[in-house]
Amino acid sequence: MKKLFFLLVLALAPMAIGATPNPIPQIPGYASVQADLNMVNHLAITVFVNGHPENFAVDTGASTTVLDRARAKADGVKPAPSDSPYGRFAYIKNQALEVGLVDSLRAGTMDFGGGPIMMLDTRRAKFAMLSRTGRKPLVGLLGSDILLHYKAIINCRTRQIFFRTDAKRAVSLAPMLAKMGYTRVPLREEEGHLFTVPFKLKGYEGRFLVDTGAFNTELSSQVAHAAHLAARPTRMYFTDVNGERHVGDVAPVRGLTIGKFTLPTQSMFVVGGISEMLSAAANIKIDGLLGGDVLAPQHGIIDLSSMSLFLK
Amino acid sequence: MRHLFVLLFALVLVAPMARAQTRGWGSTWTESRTGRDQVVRDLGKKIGADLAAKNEKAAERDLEAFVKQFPKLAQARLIAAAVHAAMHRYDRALEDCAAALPLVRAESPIAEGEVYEVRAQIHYAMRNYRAARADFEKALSTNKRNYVFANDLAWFLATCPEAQVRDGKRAVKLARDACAATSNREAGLIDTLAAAEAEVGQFDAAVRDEKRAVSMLKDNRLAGAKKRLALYQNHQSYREASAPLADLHLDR
Repeated sequence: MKKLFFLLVLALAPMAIGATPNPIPQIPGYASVQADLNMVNHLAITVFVNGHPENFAVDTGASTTVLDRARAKADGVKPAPSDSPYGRFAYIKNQALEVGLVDSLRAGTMDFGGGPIMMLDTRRAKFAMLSRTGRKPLVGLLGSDILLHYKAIINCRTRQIFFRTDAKRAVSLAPMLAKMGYTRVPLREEEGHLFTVPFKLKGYEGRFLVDTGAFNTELSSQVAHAAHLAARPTRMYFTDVNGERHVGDVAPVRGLTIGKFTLPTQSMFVVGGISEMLSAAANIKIDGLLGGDVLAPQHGIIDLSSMSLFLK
Repeated sequence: MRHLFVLLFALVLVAPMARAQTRGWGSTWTESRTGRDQVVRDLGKKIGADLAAKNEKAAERDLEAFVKQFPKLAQARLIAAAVHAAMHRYDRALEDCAAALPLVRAESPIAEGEVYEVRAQIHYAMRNYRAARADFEKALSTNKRNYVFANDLAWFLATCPEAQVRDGKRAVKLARDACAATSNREAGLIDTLAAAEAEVGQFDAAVRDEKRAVSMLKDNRLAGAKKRLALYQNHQSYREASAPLADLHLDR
């Protein structure tokens, strides 16, 4: 049974991490998409679903691509039939979501072709709150099923996303980025198309879920306890796909290393129960998630071809 | 009937492995990318091979290992139901469905209808048409917007061999709604609508709609649709004799 997972991260006082994108470079064998940044640090892109423009976020924490059920219907997305190779339903933590079949999906210069998506009642999942950006509502997530298939390269700083269209022309980023001062951290694919990286904090060793759909980085309370972090309560919270809220404390974090990259001191969320939820989704122990507040300022580049996260 | 349950088994597990989208990202959904996926699929393949080789003992043994390894996986229980049904062990198959229900309720309540659909087909195979109808109804009640469930119930109500269980009028309503919900683009639903119209004696409409379905069908359903068209042209309604399962679940 397919196990799927994604988080929706909210904050009462979101701050956009700004970086003006340069003209998008062209990589031979890749198609490109320029994302915008909404108020909750999502990589927002316009995706054409069967020719209809819809507002999506690029989300490595979403194991499949998701579209609001009502929009799916309006866009002519058909529910998967009983003999669909993808099943009628796909499963997330506590619920099954109907699988729909998209005939055509495009974004920027990229033509993804057709394939399965999950149809979700976004009101229940609090997408409406996510979408309070003064722009079009966010109605979908471009998940890691598509990102993996097209070996996406996601530049979290410039918000440029590249999809491989020619398997013979894979680009090798590591040597070039090493010269530019980037540190490579190996990504590991877990169950449900989730990606993790190793981290260390004051002797505690664990794994972060790499989540471009997360507004900010979050640590489990076990990590905070083990690392003796001085957490203080906040009014911030995150909401999971079931609409359940999880209140977060905040703590200054010093000396956190992700692979061989040492992160500058910064405040991070500490959230009880997050480890259990993430670990259940990926079937391994995960201690937190690495969100936009680290990925963008640290020039994060996610390369699903070489399975690398580059930071500097 | 055994053949039908092999097909049902294919629906539950093997079909998802065997086919993948040729253009698009669908293969990401159907590939085994991690250890557990691979274990589930390997076991499923092994059981499928056992059944194909008519080695029921081996299938039973592998099935037990499968369920033991994934005791909380509702899909494992549904596969067990399909395999037991394929072996004509219908009581065991119903027990498997009973075991699947609490698992699926805890894990993913929206999928409860899937269990009822499988159970309905087991009842159908046992010729317990009333019980089959009750389960098709339950499946639809879990999600009234699921046109596949609506279609399956409509087909059953229009074509069931037992006259007392058929309800052509309701079948027409269900099929029309399903067609409308899909903008009349689904040939399988139009085929069902035609069967329902024939059941209530609206043969002109049945012929018209079956012709539409025939013009849209390009796969293995075409031959059956053409046969039905001939029936309706002769003012005869269609009866699903003893082979509803493959049609209901794999062809529709």
